[in-house]
Amino acid sequence: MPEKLGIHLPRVFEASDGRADCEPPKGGDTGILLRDTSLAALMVHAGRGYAVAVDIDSVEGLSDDGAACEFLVLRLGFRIVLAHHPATAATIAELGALALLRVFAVDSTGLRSSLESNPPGAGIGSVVSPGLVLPHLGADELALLPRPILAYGLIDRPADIAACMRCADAIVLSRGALARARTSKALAEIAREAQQTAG
Amino acid sequence: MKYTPPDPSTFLSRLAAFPCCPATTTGEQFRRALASKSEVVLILRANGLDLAPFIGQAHQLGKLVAVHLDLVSGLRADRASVQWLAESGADAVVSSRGHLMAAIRHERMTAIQRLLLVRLTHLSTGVASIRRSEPDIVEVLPGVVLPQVRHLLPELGLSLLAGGFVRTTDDVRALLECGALAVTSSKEELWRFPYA
Repeated sequence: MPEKLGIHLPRVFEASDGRADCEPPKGGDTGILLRDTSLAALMVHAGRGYAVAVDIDSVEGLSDDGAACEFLVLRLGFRIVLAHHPATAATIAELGALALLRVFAVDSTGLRSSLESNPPGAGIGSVVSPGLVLPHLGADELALLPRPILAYGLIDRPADIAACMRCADAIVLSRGALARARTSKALAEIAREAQQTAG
Repeated sequence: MKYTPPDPSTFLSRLAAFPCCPATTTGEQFRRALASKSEVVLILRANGLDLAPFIGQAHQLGKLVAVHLDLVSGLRADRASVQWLAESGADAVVSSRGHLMAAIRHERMTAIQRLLLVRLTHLSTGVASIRRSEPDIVEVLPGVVLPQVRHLLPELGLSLLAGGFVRTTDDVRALLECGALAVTSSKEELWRFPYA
């Protein structure tokens, strides 16, 4: 789906508040997820040559209404936006960006009722929170989640990173976890598998 | 005569006796939970205004009942609804709202606070809330990831309950081995644990 929109979704996002002058690590399919950030930090990362996703619900001073969506997508040019509310995600999708709707996956009852009560519209993917739970979901539950799936939260150890990468289209890591992952054999294998699948 | 719930230490020992506590979402499932060996039944979804007969039925069978205040319908999670649940005969109340723990304890019920493990950066906020509110038990969700993140949790000095995506006896064993007192699950085949 991101490809249909002409949007590339990196396999790995580094979570950042964007306040330091950070860029995604060179090499590898990596972008930055701006969260717990500020309007000023957003401006710094707009129009740069790397992939940036924005968590609209954790930007100080920014609402999640239509004006805020237009500001992020049309004015600053961010193409991947995470949102908590279905209406916000729908607006982002209408503006031609990739909207990822947050799905709180803390238990099976809550997961199902959340997906049933707020079915995401066309062109909207999922952010599974915490991402660490993704490998524990049943095949029927995974099938309910609209793609692409971004796994976000508590993914830290190389083994968990590898397991999440097998289920998700993209994952979010801290800078430390990303550094550990780069030295992990398990991840190298996953990357090879992905290349073979693509090839 | 008003029902008096057991003290938290009795509740804890009854919970630990059969450490896979049925988490029920329908009346039918609640009835099947009453037929299980578990000594404590958790009501996740039900009409919160109509719980007394169900709880009474459980008490007649010698079981204790915990009610999830944030999930049952008809009740707003506040002090008045805590009082309502006490009058309905609940033995324990589960909520994510730390400020209600004192009210729950005041009604002599066991106070269970939910700790949602969603992001590492939110963990310290949740832990601080628990330290302030001093519940009797902390329910960690999603419980199934507890063995993977146990090292990130500070020692709270409280009994841990683990719920969420707990599906197999291996999950239950892993959770008990990493320090949970008990688990909650809607998977009925687990309710016989450790005899499953």
